[in-house]
Formats: sequence, C-alpha cells, structure tokens
Amino acid sequence: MIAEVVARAARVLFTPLLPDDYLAVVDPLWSARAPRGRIIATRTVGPATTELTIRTGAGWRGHRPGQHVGLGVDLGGRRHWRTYSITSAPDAEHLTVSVTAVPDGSVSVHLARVAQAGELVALGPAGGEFGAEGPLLMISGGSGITPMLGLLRGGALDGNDTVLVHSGRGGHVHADDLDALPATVHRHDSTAGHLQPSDLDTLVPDWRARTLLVCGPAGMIDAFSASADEAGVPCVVERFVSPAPTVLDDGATGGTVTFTTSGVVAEADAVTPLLRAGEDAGALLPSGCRMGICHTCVGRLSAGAVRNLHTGEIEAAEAEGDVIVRTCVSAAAGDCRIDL
Amino acid sequence: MTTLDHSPLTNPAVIPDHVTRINEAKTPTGPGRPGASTAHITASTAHLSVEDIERIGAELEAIRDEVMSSLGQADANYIRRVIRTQRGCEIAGRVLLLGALFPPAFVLGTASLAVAKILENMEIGHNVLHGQWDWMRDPEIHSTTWEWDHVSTAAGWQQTHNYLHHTYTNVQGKDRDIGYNVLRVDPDQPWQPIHLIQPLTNMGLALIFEWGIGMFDLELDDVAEGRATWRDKMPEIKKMARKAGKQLAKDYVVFPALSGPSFVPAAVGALLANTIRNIWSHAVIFCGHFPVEVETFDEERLENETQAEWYVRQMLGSANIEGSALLHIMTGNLSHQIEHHVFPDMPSNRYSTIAPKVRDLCRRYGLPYHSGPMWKQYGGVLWKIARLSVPGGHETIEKRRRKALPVGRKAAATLRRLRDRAVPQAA
Repeated sequence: MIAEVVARAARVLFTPLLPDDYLAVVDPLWSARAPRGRIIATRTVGPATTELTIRTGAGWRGHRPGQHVGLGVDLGGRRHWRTYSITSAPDAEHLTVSVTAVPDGSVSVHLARVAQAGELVALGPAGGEFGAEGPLLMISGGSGITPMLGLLRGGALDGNDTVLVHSGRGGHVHADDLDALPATVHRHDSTAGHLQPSDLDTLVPDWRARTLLVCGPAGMIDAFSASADEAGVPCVVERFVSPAPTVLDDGATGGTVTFTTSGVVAEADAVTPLLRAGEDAGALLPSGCRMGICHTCVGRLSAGAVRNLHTGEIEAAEAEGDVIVRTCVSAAAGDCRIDL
Repeated sequence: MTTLDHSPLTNPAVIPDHVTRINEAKTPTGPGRPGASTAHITASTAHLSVEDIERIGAELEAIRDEVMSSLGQADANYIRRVIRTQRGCEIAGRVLLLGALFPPAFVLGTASLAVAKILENMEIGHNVLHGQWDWMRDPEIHSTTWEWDHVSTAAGWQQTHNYLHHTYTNVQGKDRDIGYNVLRVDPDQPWQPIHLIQPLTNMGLALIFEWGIGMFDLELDDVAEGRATWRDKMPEIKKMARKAGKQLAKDYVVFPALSGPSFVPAAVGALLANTIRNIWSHAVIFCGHFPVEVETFDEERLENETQAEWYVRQMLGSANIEGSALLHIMTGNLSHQIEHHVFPDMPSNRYSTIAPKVRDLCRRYGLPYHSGPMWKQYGGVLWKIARLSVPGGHETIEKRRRKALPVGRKAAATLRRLRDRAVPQAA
C-alpha cells in the first residue's frame, strides 16, 4: 500500500517519462521498460559457434527450460532481432546462449565473432515450448544441441532416462560440455555421412520406447520426424526459422496485404502504396500527408516485407521487435501483414 | 516494370514512376495529376520552367537519398548522447532546486532545468515525434512511443504539426500555424480590431507559449465554426487536461514539496525554467516561418501540386537562423528550418551537412534562400507583427519580399536553358 503510493509519487516526478528512463542513464540494465542484458563473457564452443554469457537487467522475467529468447543487436545504428535457444538453467546466475555464425548472417556473425564482453543487447521475453515427459531420446545436429542443453541443465528432466545423440562434422558444438550432462551421450561424426534414422537401431536399440526430441538442420528434422511417425513414436521438434522472408530480387511483384486490425485483405502491386491499396479495398486506415513526411499512417509490419517507395529499400518483419512502416510510401514486396 | 533505381542527377528530366505514383496518392480526393500544373508560378519562381522545378525536386531527392542511406551508428550515438545530456541536466536542475533557498543553487538549478526543457522540446521531442529516429527501430526512441515534456499530448501535436503544418506549410486557410489563430502575420489575413494590440498579444503568447500550443492543438476553432461539437472535442480535452495536470503537479507541487523549506523558490525556479523555454521556443518557431521575406500561398496552389512544387513551396515558405553549433542544438536544428521542411523526418544532426547543398541549389536556380542571424530574423518577425496590427500591408510586405529575391536569376535561367539545349538529353 505504502509502496504503491511511493511508486505513484515517483512516477509523477518523472512524468512524462518513467523512472526507468532515468535509471537507464546511469546503467541501462536498471531499466525494466526495455529489458537489456550485458555480455560479460564469450567462449568458443564450436568451429563457428560462440557461447555468450549475459548478465540480465531489471526487466528480464526469467525463462523455462527449453525456451528461446530474442536478442536485439544494433548494427549500423539499426536494431535487428534474432532468436536463440537458452542454454542456461532458469536458476543460473547468468543467461547463456550459443550463436553459430551463419554465412551472410550479419547478426549471427556479429554475435559469434565480433561481440566482446561489455556489449549491450536488447532482450525479448523468453518464449516457446520444447520438451516432453518420460524416457527421452534427444537427437541434435550442430547448434541443434542448444535447446537440449537448456532442457538438460534446466533440471526439468532430472531423474529421467535420457539419451542424447549429438552429431557434428569433425568437431562437435559444445563438445566439452557433453560429459557434464545428466544423460547418456553418443557422439556421432557426420564426416562420413549424415546421421540417419536407421543408425538409431545400433546406437539406441530401445529408441522406439522413447519420446524423440529433435533439433538441427531442416533435413535432419524432416528425416527423423518422418521415421518417428512411421514407427508410431512420439516426436517433438524445434526448428530454427530463417529470419529473412523470401523477397524477389527484381523489385518484387506486390502481393496480398492483410490489415490485421480492420480485417481487410487487399491485392497490391509493387508500386501502389499500402495505404492506397487498403483504402481501395475498403479499410479505414490512419492517414495524413500521404507523402511520407508526417508518420501518421504508420503501422507495425507483422509478417512479410515491404519496399520503401522513396529509397527502394526492403523492410522485412522480424519475429521480435517492431518494424514500423509508413503505409503511404511503402508497397508490398510479396505477401505481408500490417497491424492496422 | 518500373525501375526503382533512379539517378536524377544524370538525367533529371526523367521523374521516376514511383514518385509520380506518390503524387497521385497525395491528393486524398482527387484523381491525381493529369498534367503539368502551373501551381509553381509565383513572383519568385516565374523564371523557372516546369522542367526546372522537376529538376529541383530530383536534385533534392538525390540529397535525401544520399543522407538516408548513410545513416549509421554515429547518428544513433548522437541522439543517445543528446538524450543522456538532457536527462543529466534535468536531474542536476531538480536536485539543485531542492536547495533553492540558497541563491546560487536557485540560479544554477533554474538554468539547468531551462536547458533541459529546451533540449527536450526542441532537439529531442520535436524531432523524435517527427519520426527522425524511427529508422533505428529502438522502441524507446520512436515517434509512436515518445511522450514529451509539454502540456500538449504527443498525438495531438503530431496531428496539427506533422500533418497539417508540414503538409500544407504556409498555405492560407490550410496551415493553421499562420498566426496560430491569434495573430495577423500575413497581409492576406483579414484585419480585425483585436489585431491593434497584437504586439502585446505576441509578447503574452511568448510567455505562455506551451499553453498556447496546447490549446491550439485542440483545434477548438472547429467548434466555433461548426465543424465539430464540444462533445467531439471532449476526449482530446480530457487527454490534454490529464497530461497538463501531471506536468503541473510535477513542476509546482511534488518537486517543491520535496524541497521542504525551499517550496516557494523551487516552484518559482520551475516556473522560470518553463517561461524561459516558452520565450525561446516561441522565438525560434516564429523565426521559422514569419520573417518578412518568407512567402505564403493560396489554397489553389495545392490543386495538382507536384512533389517537386511541394519542395519548392517548403523552401520559399521557411527561413533559417545562422549561428554557432550551440545555437543549432538549442533550436533543435530548427535553425535549419528550410532543410527541416524539405525533409521533416531526416535526423536533425544531418541538416547542417545538407544546408550548403540546398543553399547552392537555390542559388543555381535563382530561388531565394531565407537565412540570417537571429536578431535579423526575429527583428523581421516583430516588425511584421507591428506593421500588420493595422489594416493593409500588402504592398509593404510585397516590396520586402521582392527585395529578397536573388538578382540575376533570369539570366541564370536563360543560361541553364541554353546549356540544356547544347547537351542533348540521353535517351
């Protein structure tokens, strides 16, 4: 009661901002308004993979084993979001994630190769569901080990009979951490060939009595979930979704625009502003100058990509973080969804 | 298929298709632009052809594209540094005013708070609310989430300022900022007896400018003129009242109460800081559009106005203030009003770098580029307000506008046409 009064009085002191906005001036981690973390250590855990230890700030609300988190990184002044599996236990002092540098992946290359201790990252809320009950068989390839680490270290499976088959080409991602895990671990070297469902009969003869948890390259997930289906074995998979939506190179072709709030669906070509397309289809949309200067018509791009008609630049939706676009000077670059 | 990669400088006569499409979309009710309009013809542009105007537009867009594609970490660092400085000044001011009974603390605290409020309103609030920093995708520095230290709400301000004022800049009957409904700052505004005292009205407005803007943003004249009812306006009025209430409580109740025995001087310090900010922002904003030479336009001009003509109107209808880097920051770079009006959502730290290019463009096309030191610009504003407090004024103002036109602009136009004829356009 008293605390509430004090908190309210404190908010008046800082109006129209929040106390957090001033706390962030002293230490960005103190602000709960936009949760942040600071990288305090980096460790190489694979040929192209780096483990980041992150001290979480005031706004971090914790996670459950098997969940992932969005990391927001400023590159060239602009924030980009990518999602990574959490490899630390919920009660661990710090958050850890492992980032594998993807060829041409600006964010992953930055986090895996460039980022140093001391750097700040924005944190999204933890999300996702991954895990199962009973005897388990975890199958992972490459950085697919990360959600398995999260589950095993998180204590959710303590006392479970768990077998882990971890495949890697030459070296294994997180090779040094495998022995400490509460599971029977098989290392598979994929230099001579990918891990196949048929390998399970020799590696884990009782695999049909277990629930499969699979994470790794798309082909691997597809192969194992198909075999599990065939054998009638329960199978839970975790897929790493590519962040970039497919955009045609030649300037795109327009597409179907869905205005999620008003429920209007419009077909738009590559040079018609989304605002115009929406209005022509009967949507009542916020609008102002209609020439890109007043930012009245802005809406969140929740899926797909749009082209800025002024610059020709493509703006694509990201899983975390808001990509806000001006509908009066943006045209569809493929199918897209706008929260208006 | 249209090509979006346009290079206006190599072939400025070709207006990219997508620009035309935006122009078409711009007229909310009209069918778009059927042909070249004659809207550009005013005294200062009579020497320019339609092609010249389109070329000006294309050159400006090249300037914009160059800046917007080069935005990066340094720009992000700039706005974050300004925000940190502003919050530091605010905290210092508030803390010093806790001991406001001690005169040096009173003076320093008031000064620090005034600086904080000016920075917050001008270089941070105004510019963030324009979306100048939206490109960073930082939810904490974004036009859709920002709220500023001002009695008017961010949303109300964005409607009257970002949309109405910036789209219809200096168009009689459309840009409500012309005189803010209380002053006669253009000879085309009908004279009323109340204007006799407008030099005084103006001084009063300067003192309470924040409240003037807040009331102005409510657009209450809509009620008087039957365009809206009080019932329509109630939600906005309530929102502003709630915000203003919090602002008042913070400045004049909560912080003074915290300073205990210094209650009265602390409240006076906050009042002074707010007033200094009011006088300063009033001066800067009036210097932006009301100096004598700056042009205003008729509503007919908007019909079929092209993007390029819009750019030209923005340049002719704005005025810059010359001065030091400190002056530019304290005006929120509204000292580069011309550049701001051409590109309202370009990050403010870049205006100073494009200003020489825009100035040169105006020189080459024989357009006036209204720029001068603050005393000259503000002097012009005060002179105009005094002159227009009595009826008439058309001829006097016109004379001053004509005097501001660059000499030799017709010769420049002729030379340019000769040159264009000599060099055949690439197919």
